[in-house]
Amino acid sequence: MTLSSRKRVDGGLRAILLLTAFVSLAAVILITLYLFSEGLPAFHTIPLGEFLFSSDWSPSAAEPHYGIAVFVEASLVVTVLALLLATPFSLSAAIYLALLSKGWKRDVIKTGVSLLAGIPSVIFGLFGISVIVPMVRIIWGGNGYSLLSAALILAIMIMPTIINVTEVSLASVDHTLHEASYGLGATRTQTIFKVIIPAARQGIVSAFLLGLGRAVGETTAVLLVGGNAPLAFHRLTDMGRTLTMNIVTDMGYAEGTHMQALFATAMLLYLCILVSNGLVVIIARRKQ
Amino acid sequence: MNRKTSDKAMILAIHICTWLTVILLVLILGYVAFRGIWKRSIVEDDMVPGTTSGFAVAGNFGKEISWSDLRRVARGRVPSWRSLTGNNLALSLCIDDSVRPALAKALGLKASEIVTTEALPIHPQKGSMVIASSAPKGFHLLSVKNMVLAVNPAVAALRGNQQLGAVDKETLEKLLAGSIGSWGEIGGPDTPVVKADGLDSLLANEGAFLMMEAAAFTSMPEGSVSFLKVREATSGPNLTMSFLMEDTIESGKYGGIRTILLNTIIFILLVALVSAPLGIASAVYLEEYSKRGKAYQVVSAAIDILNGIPSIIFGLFGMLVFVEKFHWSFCLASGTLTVSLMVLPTIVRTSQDAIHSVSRALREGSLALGATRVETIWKVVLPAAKRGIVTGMILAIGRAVGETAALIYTVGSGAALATSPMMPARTLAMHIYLTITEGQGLDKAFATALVLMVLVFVFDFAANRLAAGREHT
Repeated sequence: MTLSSRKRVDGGLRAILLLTAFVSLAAVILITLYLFSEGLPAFHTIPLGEFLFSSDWSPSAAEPHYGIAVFVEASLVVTVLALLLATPFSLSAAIYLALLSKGWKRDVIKTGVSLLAGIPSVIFGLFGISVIVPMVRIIWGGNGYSLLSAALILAIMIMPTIINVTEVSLASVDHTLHEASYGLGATRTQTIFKVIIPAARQGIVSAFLLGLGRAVGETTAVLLVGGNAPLAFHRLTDMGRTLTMNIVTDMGYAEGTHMQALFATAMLLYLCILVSNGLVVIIARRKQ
Repeated sequence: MNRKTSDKAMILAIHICTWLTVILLVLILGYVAFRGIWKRSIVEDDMVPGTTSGFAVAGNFGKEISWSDLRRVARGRVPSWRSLTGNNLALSLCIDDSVRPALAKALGLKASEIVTTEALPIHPQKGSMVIASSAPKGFHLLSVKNMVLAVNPAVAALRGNQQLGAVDKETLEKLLAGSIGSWGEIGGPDTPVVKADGLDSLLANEGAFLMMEAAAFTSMPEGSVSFLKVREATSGPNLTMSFLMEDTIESGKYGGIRTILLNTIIFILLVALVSAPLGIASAVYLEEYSKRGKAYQVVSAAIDILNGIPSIIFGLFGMLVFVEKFHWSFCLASGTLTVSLMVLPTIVRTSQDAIHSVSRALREGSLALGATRVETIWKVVLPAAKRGIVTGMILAIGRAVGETAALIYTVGSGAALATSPMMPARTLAMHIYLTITEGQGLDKAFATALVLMVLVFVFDFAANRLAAGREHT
């Protein structure tokens, strides 16, 4: 090959590579466009206020109502509870991995966390049905299929995300800080909680935001254990339906405005996750 | 001093919480593995095995056959073993003429209702059921469940919202041995248990029970006698070789998961085929060409967003675009493209890291030798980054193989082997989801889950080994 033809190949390939790199961008733009173009028309027939704040979801009634307030509330309750339940374990594991352990013990925990992250959500759901649901039924009553079961399963599922991100941010705290703290006579606990964690707080907040994103968007596992009743709930042991459960359950038969309302629900979910992930990016920027 | 103890307590608490996490993981994995290997379910049946007089039933599969199934078989209504034992083999029936009268009597049929069958085989033939005076060589006897626990209607009557409808097998044995004094002990009315010695005493006494042959029981007038079902816990191996090797029949009600396993492998390969070239090429562009300018930032942000989008939203997008707009319907192609988009960020990010870590000296050496940019990338950079790139692909595949939410409205639920990308084809994960939601019982779901889990961990292990190897070299 002559030099000029080699150069031409070079230029052509560059163009192809550029195109492939823009596939991701195109995907994001298309997903956003499709979601919004299917979801926004819902608001021609459903007032935005009713959609967001009414708790009456009766799409098949003679006079259909499309209020998703109950589902928003269920999603919030389940997510917050899952984060609360996951916090002590995730923080401990991250501190242990980043600061307290080495050798085989660290390897065991590390492998364990990575295995936990790899378990598919449908298997968590299966485990939930056969262990968590009966456990909740026996301990707290109700029929077991409940928001509490969903939160317990979610807590386990989001732990690896929180642990990994927190560990990285704890490990990246400047070592001179540790030494300065010990030098001043602080104990290990004081060093960890008063020096290292505050220094790594941005990373930890990111970790929890990522966990939140995963919990809000999780579908299959919560669908299998949550009970999926589109009704208002009063206790944690009541059956409930989250935003994602609503989308999956109704999408199978929805038409017209009902379908648009589901896409509007998906839109809301998408916006929530965009905001929480946006915060993660902003935090990362500020750190740099 | 106080500070030291509180310090120690806190560190101990951290240790405990951490190890609890690992114990939890072991519990989950252990539970799924155990239920996957061993099934244990409680079955309620109308009848219990008894003796048959004048005939014997023999076959290649199963241990017992219920009276009503045998009745259907004898009338020629059962073409396959599928509904009896789950084995997907045609049932060829041979009834020896000498046992016909006894069989007709035991089943409560007229002799003319029993089908005429082929003659007895001389050699055992797989799939035959033989009803004769004894089991021919190569067959084993099946015990016939033909005894009913008949009780006086007062025993099984509804009291308020309570009713005695079934007893455990152990309870039945105690009843027969006479060690239960009152029905109240096992959730029935407070009448003393009486072992009847005939129909008359069964009808006369409020607490009477009698083991009756099915034919006699069914010939009684409706409502004159009640019966109690018998509960039995069955257990046995769950994930067997035949479960892996048999085709899936009627959405998983019968048969194994061979076709689903194959579909899953096809699905994985297709996802890799679509997402790997795209992902690696994107990574090459971002690392080698973009010079971290505006384009880099925009594409990077897009990849971050894509990475955070929940899989259900990918599923909706796939449904709108591939299933509806392209009119592909629910098929392998729709599912593959949807999931390929979903795992793209994983591949791009890991490939980027791998390419980034290739030393500058290698690159400059190649360029200095007169190679063009493309030649340098193709022959120097990519080979050097191979390990990292493969690691990323394996991680992506591990994510794809466990995916359900993105597939529910894209890939369809067909369980047959997909011979074209336009055919619906459920993956293992979807199969688990569908068997649970169709209420087929959890045993098969657990067996499939064990296979899926092993698959995921093999990928995970391979990715970790590759990544570890990369750190050492």
